[in-house]
Amino acid sequence: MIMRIVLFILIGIILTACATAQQLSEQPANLSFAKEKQFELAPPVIKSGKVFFDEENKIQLLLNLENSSIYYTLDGSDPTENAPLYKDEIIIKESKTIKARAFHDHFLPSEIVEAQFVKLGQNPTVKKISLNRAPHENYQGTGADGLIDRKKGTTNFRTPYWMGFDGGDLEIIIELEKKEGIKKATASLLSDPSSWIFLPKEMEVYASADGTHFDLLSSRILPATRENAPNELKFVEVNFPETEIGFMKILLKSFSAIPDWHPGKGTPPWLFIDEILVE
Amino acid sequence: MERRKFIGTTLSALAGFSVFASPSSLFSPYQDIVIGHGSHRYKIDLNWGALNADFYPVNDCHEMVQDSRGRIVLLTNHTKNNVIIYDKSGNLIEVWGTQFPGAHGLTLNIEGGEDFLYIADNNRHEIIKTTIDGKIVLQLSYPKTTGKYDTPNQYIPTETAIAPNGDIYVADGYGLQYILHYDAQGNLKNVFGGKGEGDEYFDNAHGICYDDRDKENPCLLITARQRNELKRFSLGGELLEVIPLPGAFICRPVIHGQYVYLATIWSGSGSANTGFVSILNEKNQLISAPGGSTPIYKDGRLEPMHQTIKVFQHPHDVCVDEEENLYVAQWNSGKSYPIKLIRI
Repeated sequence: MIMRIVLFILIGIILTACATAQQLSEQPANLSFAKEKQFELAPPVIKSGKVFFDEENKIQLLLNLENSSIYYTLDGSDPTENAPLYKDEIIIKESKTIKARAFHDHFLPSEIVEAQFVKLGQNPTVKKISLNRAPHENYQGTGADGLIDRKKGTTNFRTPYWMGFDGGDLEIIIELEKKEGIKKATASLLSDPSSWIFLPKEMEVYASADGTHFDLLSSRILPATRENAPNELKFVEVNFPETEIGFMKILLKSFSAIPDWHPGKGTPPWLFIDEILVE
Repeated sequence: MERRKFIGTTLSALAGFSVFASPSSLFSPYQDIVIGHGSHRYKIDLNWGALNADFYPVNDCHEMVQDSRGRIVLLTNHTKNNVIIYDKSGNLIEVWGTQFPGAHGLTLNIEGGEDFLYIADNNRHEIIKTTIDGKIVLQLSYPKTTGKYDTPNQYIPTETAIAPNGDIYVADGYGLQYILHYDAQGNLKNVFGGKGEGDEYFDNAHGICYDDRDKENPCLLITARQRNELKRFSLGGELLEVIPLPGAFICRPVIHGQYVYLATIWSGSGSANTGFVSILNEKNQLISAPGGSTPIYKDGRLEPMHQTIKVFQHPHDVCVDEEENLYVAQWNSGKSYPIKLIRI
């Protein structure tokens, strides 16, 4: 009798074990897989040999994903499937911001990616450019003169044209060869939150006749970087009524701390700059 | 556990009633998607290994290996359960480990018929060798005798590789970038790599593995993640070859058959959440990139790679099972559990 009970229990255990094993092997073999329309596309890559150009510039857009399409705009509007479809390289002859977005039947459309290309206009001759502080020893760029050499870094902050500053404001003073009418100043900056590099919160432009007393011409406030923002090259422009200028001061005011969504929250952000344009 | 079993049973029963309807059309108007290229294409199981985070939490899922019993072993830097052991279906078998705050690298080696784990711990600045159930058998602290290190904090090992003779290679991927070569007992035999500009140096020597695909000429594969390069070294530490993988921030090489699998944590310009998986063939050419762009070689050079589909955030390691399915562990991805890719 006891033997029989033991046997029954044993059989019971074996049956349960088999059931479990069968369940494991019958795990929803093709029931739980990710489906169409579940994932978003990554944004397309914007490729160009140069960012600053004299006459014209060629731009390529690519995703290298079968059956995907890229739509783009050059007028600042957000691309939809009604925008021009990218087929061949785009040629621009003026300063432009290109915005592009990828579409695919099986995936959600990508975020919009954008890049600015700047046609070099009539730029005054700079006699001297100086900074109020030295860049970090690892990210010295090519010196203060490198900010007016028309050489552009890539989104990789290690490319040699980038000058990096570990927190704090940056003041740049430019002395022109002769007094000239100026109406625009542009700072070429890097936004790379994954490397703790952020845009400043404000850019101010001052003018002076003697290089000592500066008056504020205009300023621009920038929004804080949103979470998961991609690495981007950014041009921050400040426009003002044409003014005869001998000396110009550009003040880039950094945020005091990295935003709360970031692992580096509370610590000072890095500021990276590779070029200043005065027109 | 219980919930998973219940769902499994329910789904099986439902499938049983709908013999003529394809399972995907039963639950969704959409088809399963397939990622990857050529011979290495996969469906995606996002729910694999998901556990109740109140009981079995993860922070970063750093690395995964398969043990000789076929189980999938996950290493996380959550000290409630540094090691989580699953079956291949993602059911929890057991957990252990509370003393590895910087649990990062995980390598399995079979020694005398027994499985051993080598854990590289970033915070403890050491390598810990354990049995498969967590008993510590060897510790390698910072390599003071090399004369290269002043303090233990400079040594931040990320990975180990074990040669058939038991020799241990350690990559100091977050530290001074040296590769340290020990015998099986932990006696230092050689040091190479380090920081520098030349090809023989490293910039984030994040992962290392023993490559015996060519049985006559075994070698080491070591990633230089920040340079988007995989480097081949002799077992004695001489540079043999540099394999550029532009745009691919590769974490650690994993050999399975004739292929090398590499979790790629970032891509393109290195923005957050741009990862994918890279698969190289026997010639170390990229042949498939699940979640990434189609690999294109022009004049023998790989065109820069980038993410195309946002399946992954930050893949940190790939484990390949005997059916050639992949398990992808991710760093800094919302404390999520690994993703399984089922080869089709």
